[in-house]
Amino acid sequence: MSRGASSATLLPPGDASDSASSVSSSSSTTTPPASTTTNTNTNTTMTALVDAPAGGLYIPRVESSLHQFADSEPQLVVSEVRTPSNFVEEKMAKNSSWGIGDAFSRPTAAEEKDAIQRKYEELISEEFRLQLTRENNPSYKRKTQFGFLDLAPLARNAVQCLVQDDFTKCFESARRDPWNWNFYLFPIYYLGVFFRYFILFPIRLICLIMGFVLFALVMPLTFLLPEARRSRYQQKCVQLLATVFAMSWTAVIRYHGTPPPRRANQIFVANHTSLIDVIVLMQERPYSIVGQQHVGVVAFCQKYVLGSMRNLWFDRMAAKDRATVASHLHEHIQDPTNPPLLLFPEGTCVNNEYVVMFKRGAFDLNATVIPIAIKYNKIFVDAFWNSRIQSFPQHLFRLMTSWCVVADVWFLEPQTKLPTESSTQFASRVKELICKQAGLVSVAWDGYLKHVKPNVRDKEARQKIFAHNLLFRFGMNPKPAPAAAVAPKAQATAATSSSSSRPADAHTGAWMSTDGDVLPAEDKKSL
Amino acid sequence: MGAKPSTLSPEELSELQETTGFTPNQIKRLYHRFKNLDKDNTGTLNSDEFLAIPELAMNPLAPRIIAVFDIEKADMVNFGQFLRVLSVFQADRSREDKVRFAFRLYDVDNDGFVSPADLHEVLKMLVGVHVSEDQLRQIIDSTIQEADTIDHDGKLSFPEFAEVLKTTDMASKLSIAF
Repeated sequence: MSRGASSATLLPPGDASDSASSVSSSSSTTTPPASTTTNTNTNTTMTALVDAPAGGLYIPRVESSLHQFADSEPQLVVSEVRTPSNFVEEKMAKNSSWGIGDAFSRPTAAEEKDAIQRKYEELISEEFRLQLTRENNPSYKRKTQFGFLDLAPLARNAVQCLVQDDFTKCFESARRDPWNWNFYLFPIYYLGVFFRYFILFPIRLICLIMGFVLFALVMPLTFLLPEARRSRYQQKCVQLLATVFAMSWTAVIRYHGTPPPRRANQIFVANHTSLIDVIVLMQERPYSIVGQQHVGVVAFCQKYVLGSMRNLWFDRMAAKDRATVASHLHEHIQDPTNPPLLLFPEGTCVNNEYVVMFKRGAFDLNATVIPIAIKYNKIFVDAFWNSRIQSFPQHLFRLMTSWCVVADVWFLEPQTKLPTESSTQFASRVKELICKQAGLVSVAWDGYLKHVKPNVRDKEARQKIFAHNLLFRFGMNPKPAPAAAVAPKAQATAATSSSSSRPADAHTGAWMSTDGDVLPAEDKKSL
Repeated sequence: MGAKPSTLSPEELSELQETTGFTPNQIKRLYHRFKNLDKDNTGTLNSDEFLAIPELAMNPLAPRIIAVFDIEKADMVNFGQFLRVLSVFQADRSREDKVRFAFRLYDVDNDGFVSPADLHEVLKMLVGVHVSEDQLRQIIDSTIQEADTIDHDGKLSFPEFAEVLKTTDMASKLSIAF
C-alpha cells in the first residue's frame, strides 16, 4: 500500500508539476531517509497542486491537510513497481469485467449530458474538497482509516434533494396563495369567478368554435388555388386560427424587437413553457415547428391544423427519429420559401421561472439562430403546462377561464456560432441570452430527465471522484483510467520504473481543477 | 398513517411537531414536497418515486439513504417516517441521533453491527469499480481493526462506531438547511 505516495517521494521538491522533468530527475534521486521522505512527499504534492490550474482559494487549506496526512504517518512503505505489462493486464481485466470502459468511451448521447454532468460533478467534488480540507479531527490524521463520515457530503446532498431539488423545481406549477380573504375583496373575487366561468368562458368557447369552423371551411378552398400561391394562403389560415386561439384567452402579448428579414439558414429558438408558445408566436408570423409528436387533441391539431406548415414531428425518445430529424432540419432551412423553422431546444415545457439545458441539435446546423425569449406574466394565470397533472384541454380550459394571458416576447439579435465554439457552448450562450432578457434562471439540467432515468455514467463519475479521494487518503494508486490516453503516461513512468506523481495527477484532475472540468483529462477525451 | 387525505389534520401536525421538532410551516412545506414526490398518490413513497429525483438517482449513496428511510423494508415510506429521518438533519438535533443515522447507513443487514461485509457493500456502492478488490479489502480491514476497540469481535457495535466519531463535528456534517 501507499504506493503512490512513496513514488512521489522519489521526486525532488518542486518538480512534480512537469511529468517529463519529474521522470528525468527522479531517476537520479535516491530515496531520502524516512523522516524527510514525508516532507518531500508533502512538498512535491503541494507543488503539483499549486502548479495545476487550481484556484488559489483552496490551496492554503489543501496544504495544511496534506501536512496532516504526512505528519501522522511517517513510515511509508515502498511498494511494488508497476510495469507496463501489469498495467495492461489490469486495464484488460477492467474492460472485460465491468464493461465500464465501454460506457466511458462510447460517444452516443454522451455529449448532450456533459454540461450537467460537469456542473454536478463540480458540486460534489467541491463538497469533497471542502470536506477534505476542513478535516481537523484525529481520525483523519490516521491515514490507514476510512473516515466513516467521508460519505457525509453524499448523504447531505441526498437529503437536501429530498427536501428540494434543482430539477423538479423547474417543473413545479406556481403555488397560489389566496390573498382575497377580506370582507370586500372576497365578494368581488366571487363575482369575478362567476363572470369568468359563466360569461367570459362561453363567449370565448363560441368564438373558438366559430374560428375552427371558419378554418375548416376555408382551408379546403385553398386547395383550389394554384400550388405556388396555395401555401401562402394556408399559412394565413393557420395564422388566423392562432389569432382566434389567442383571443380565446384574451392574450395580451407585447412583441419587442424585430426579427431579421427572411433568409435561408435561419432557425428561431425559444424557451418553452406550454404548447401555447406556438400560438403566441404563430399569431405574429407563421413558422414550421419542430417538436414532439403528441397524442389526443394535440395530435389532431398537429396533423390537420398545422399540416400545411411543413412541420417536423418526431418522438423525442426515439434516437432514430432524432437522427433523421437533423437531416430534415438541414434540408428545410436551405429553402427560404419555407416558413421559418421554430424549435424549442429545451425539449420539454418548463415553468417559465427556469430554463433547462438547450439540446444542441439546433445549434449543430451552422445556421443563424434567432433567439426568442418568452416571459409570461403570472398575475392572472400560470401559463405553464404541467403535463403530469393536466391534459392539454384542461390546460386550455384553465387559460380560457382566466382574465387574460399576459406575455412579453422578445426577438433577440441573431447569433451565429463562433469559430472557437462547440455546438454545446453555442447552445448555452444563446440560452444565457434568453435567460437574461426574460429574467429566467438558467439551470444545467437536461429536461429529458423528466421522462427518462439518468444515465449510469453520472453515478459512475461520482463514484470515481469518491474513489480518488479515498485512495488518495490511503496513499494508493487509482485504478488505471479506462481510456487509451493513459498509455503514453504509463510508458513514460515505466522508463524510471515508478508511477511517479500519479496520485497528484489524479487529484489535480479529479478535484483540484477549478475550470469546471472535474473528470481527469483522459476521461474527458474519451467522452 | 397509510393513505392520507390531502391535508394534515391539526392533531397530526402537532404530533409531528412534537416528535420531529419541525415548525408547522416546515412540516407543511415538507408535506407539500412529499405529495409532489408521491406521484401515484398512495400516501407512501417507494424507491422508484425516490429515484425519480434525478439528482438522487445520480447519488451513489441513494440505495442506503432510501434504506434508512424505509425502516420496515416494505418499499414504502409514509410521511411520518419521511419526516422523522429528515429531522435528523436539523442543525440542532442531538449528536447521538446523527451518529445513529450514520450507523444505520453502514449497517446494511440491519443486525446492529457494522461487519466487514456491511462496510464492503457500502464502500463498493461509493467507489463502484474504481477501487480494486484488494485495495478495498485493505481499507476495510484496517478500518475495522482500528475501530474494533472494545470487544475485538471483528465487527463494530454501535458504541465502537460512536467511539470512532467521538471527535467528529457531527452537526456540521449531517445538517442541512430546511
